[in-house]
Amino acid sequence: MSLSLGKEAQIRSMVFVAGEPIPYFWPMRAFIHHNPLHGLERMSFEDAVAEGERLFHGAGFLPRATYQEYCRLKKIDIQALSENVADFLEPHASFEGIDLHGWLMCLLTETDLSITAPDSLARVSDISAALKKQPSPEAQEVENKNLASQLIDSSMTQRPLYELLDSLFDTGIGEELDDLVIKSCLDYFDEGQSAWEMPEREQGFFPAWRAVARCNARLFLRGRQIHETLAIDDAPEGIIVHVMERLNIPQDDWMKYFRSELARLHGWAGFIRWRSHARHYRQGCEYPGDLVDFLAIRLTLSLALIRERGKNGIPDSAEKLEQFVRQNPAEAYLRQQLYGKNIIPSWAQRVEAVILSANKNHIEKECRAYIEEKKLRDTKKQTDFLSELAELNNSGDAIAAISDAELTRLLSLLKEFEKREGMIWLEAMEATAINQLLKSISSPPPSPDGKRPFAQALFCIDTRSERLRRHLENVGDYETFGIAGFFGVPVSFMELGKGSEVHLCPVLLTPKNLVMEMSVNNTQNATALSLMEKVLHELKESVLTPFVTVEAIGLLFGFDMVGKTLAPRSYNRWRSRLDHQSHKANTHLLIDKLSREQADSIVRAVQRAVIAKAIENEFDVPQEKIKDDLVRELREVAMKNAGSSLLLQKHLQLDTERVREFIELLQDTYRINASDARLQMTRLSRIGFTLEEQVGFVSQALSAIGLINNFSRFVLVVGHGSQSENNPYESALDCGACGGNLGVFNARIFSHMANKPAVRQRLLEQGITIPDDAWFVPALHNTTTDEIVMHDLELLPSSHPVYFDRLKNGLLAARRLCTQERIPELDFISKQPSSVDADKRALRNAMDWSQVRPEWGLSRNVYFIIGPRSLTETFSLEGRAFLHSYDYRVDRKLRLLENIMSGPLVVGQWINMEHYFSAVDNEHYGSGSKAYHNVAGQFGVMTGNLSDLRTGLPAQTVLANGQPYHEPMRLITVVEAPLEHVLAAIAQVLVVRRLLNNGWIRFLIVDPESGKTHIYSKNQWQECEQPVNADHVIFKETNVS
Amino acid sequence: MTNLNFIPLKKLEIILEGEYLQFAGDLLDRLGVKGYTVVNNLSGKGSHGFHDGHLMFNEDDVLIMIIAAVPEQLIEPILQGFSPFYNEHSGVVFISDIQVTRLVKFSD
Repeated sequence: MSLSLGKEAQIRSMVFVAGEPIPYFWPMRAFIHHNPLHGLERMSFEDAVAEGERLFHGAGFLPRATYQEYCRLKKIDIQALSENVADFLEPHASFEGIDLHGWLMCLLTETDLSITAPDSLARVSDISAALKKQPSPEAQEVENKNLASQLIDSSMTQRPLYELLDSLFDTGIGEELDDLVIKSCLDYFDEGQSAWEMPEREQGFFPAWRAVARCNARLFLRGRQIHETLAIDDAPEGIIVHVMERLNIPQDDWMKYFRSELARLHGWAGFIRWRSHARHYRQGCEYPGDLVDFLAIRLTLSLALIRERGKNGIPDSAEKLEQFVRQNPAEAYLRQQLYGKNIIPSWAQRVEAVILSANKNHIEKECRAYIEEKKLRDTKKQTDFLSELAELNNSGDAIAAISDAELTRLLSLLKEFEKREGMIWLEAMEATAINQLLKSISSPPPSPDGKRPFAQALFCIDTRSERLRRHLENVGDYETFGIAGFFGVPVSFMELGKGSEVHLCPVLLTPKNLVMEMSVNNTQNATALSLMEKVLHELKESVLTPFVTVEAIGLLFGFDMVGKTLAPRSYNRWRSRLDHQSHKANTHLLIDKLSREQADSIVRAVQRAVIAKAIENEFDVPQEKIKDDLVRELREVAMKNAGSSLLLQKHLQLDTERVREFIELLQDTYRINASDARLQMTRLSRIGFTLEEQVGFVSQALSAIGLINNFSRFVLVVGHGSQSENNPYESALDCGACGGNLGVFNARIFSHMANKPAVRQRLLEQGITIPDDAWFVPALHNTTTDEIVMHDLELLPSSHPVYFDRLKNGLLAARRLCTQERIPELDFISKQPSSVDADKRALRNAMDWSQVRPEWGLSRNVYFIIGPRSLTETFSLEGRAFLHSYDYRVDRKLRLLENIMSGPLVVGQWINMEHYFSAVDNEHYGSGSKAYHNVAGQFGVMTGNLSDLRTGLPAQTVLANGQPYHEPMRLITVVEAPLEHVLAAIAQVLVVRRLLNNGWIRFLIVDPESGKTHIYSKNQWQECEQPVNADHVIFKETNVS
Repeated sequence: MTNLNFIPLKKLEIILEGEYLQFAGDLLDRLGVKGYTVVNNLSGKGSHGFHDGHLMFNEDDVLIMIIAAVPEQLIEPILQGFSPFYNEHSGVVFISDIQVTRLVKFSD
């Protein structure tokens, strides 16, 4: 029985839409900070958090006690909190004799009371009576039937069937199912961690799993169910439909059902989702697997487990479950209380006993008694809540006298308030942070171009750069700028010795150009080298190395396979020669475009080298015996696919049959054929940037940061990266703008472009004047030790080395001061260490493999400031701000601001949201403690032996001693430019508009021309009145279109 | 001119947000559609308001249109396949009658 084409497509589409709220999980080799609720960004922040709680069971706000602590530490301004509470109360009528504002403030700041209780049985009349100290009105029979059906109905569509069964019958299906599914995923998606590979993986996730499941004895013991199910259809879509129909789930509810199924293991689902959409991911192409496969496997296993439990009389379909609840409402209610973990603790034993007795009368009697007791307790709880609150506010009399109607209104208001409590705290916290910033920020008039700074430095916007920039500016005549760490040049990079490309840019982008790194030293054999040298004049270095092992066979055709077949010994030797340390050896980056002739020559030379190697491999002929003309003839025969190689026959005494075989081998395995050659030419044409592109990128970057004249002698282009040992989260500390990689390669590429005379000539025409003695020097900022290492120094013009010492000393001083400031927060020492001591500690952190926290990374980030450095250089931002340089005066067309907002700002928001949710609920949105992590499949981590793939940041990154170190707030964006200018730019960038309107970021505009500051608050733009020396900033509504 | 054979087919114009191009293409491939054309940078107005066609930092924020010519019997499966998608996302599908001369490019 196979599904119709349309039905299959419909299922596939349903699964796609169902999986959308699940965030992508990128392999951790290049950790990407992202918003765990990214799939819900079309909703408002508040709504998305609520939905996140439902789907992922994650809290969206800190517990009240933490916020109260923040109040004590003055991180939350009481005044701001009070204003927010007043805003909440505005649409509500007041209560006689009750100072509601006072009540609510008291509730927030002085108590840990809570009124919210979703399954409370208390009624208003009971509470009212209790408050008046009167006996309760006649006890009414609470309908069990209603209770039970109520809770089943509401859960049916929200949760998978087995979750309901677990909560009623304690069957433990959910856990067992998760274990089985995780194991299947680990087997299939493994990327080299296991010693024994799963067979038939090329068939795809579902087919491979099915093949193994049929032979899996463990699953066989579960009964024939799995075999039956798998026999229904070959395609996963058919299996899905079959299982859903067997479980009697109504078709209208299927999509919601799929969604909650996928959300249960959202780490794995997110990984599979990402993987199925990543076109360039090698393992994804070789071993395809998508969410439809995943869901089919899950549903098959869940059906088998449910049916197995069904043998013990437990309902095994939605229909049967509903029937059970209808016929045994009392039992259902008690079961849900007990196994759903909601029961009154002192009653647990007797309830369990009566359920097991299976005596219907006893059960009903017990249920009635239980409900009575519960009602009493719930009533007491709510009454106590009100009395205590009234007591603290001297409204004891008013609350005793309150009418039933008013009481109802009060209770519902309080419940609504508690729902909004998180947002109220958050907004107050943000208001405090905004005030703090506005007090210090100053917008001085633009100073005339002063004297030439000794050196300028372009740093990444990363928050860790702020400290170093501040110290560097203080130690000497340095000017610093902030720009996204990839310097505006998206590039696909092939590092020396690696076979695959890495995208060095934010994940939002796909780079179109490829840059390869080549060794300066000769590392390959002589014959091939001499071929290359004859052909290529310009390139002095040995270019063969990357090409032989990669370009020869094409990038997508499997680097390892080639290496192993083609030249196993030399390949392995060569690979081991190139570890990280030896990278210090000089390398050359291929940045400029190859001419057609060059590309053609490379392809030919590589083909010849490959053929020579092939002869050596297949016939064991040593290299020196292989003649040029033999190689040439073979190449022509293989390319033209005609004729035969007579020379080969003659030299090696082979018959025509064997020669033909060899030529076919050359064509197929060694890829010496016309269409592959064409492909390789296309690939080679991707290498490098044209002159126009180079001019474009450099011009864009320099204009964006407002650096178009007054260049100093040294312009440092500083990318950043982190250093740590034994850290699966290593790349989370690297540059996010470079896709989780080191920023040094982009720095080198950018510098190469900016130093080119031809590029500078064209920039002159655009109004960017770079003097001849200005030199761009790429560098790497090691954020663990704050060391800045400069690269490509052999290219420095001869006039510069004489100034070099001064530069190095400046950088060293800045580094020492920076670590001195940073280390006390990291190592929790109260006395400020000497700079030498701090330095030593920082170095140790970088190399100690037991160190779970080599650096704080981006924790405590909160501001994103777009504007000139003069805005922020007078005060310390404590490493909490992303700083992007920007000068609105050179941005008439708004393009640069739009670029900054749609790129770096979005990356900043992703980082901010990742930290927010990992700090607020580390167990569900973060990945828990590093101490329990185990690497899974080489791309992720699990907690303990077997668990869902952990997403988000580990506890050590955002928490300190169990309390949040990162202060969770939404990103506070500040742009210095005229109001109209910024509003027009925002109007053009859809993603920022959405983030703003839905409340995912806060936004301020500092208008230097009018001197006013504007903030986006409560869905509109408001003007800030900023009295000098005030602790508190007042907002006023303005009419802004 | 008398040698041309006109064969009636149906044309689908599928308008949706650019970030779903891969999904739509994959679905069409599985349904047996032989090929399609993509038109980029669309702008327009719908129930969600005006959507401008400004191509910015990446290609995901714009509307695109996929044009495909298919035999009549594929129309229903295709619409059935896209219906869960359009329940949650903005966009439209237009179906019209067209004629082609080289049937082999569009159908088996």
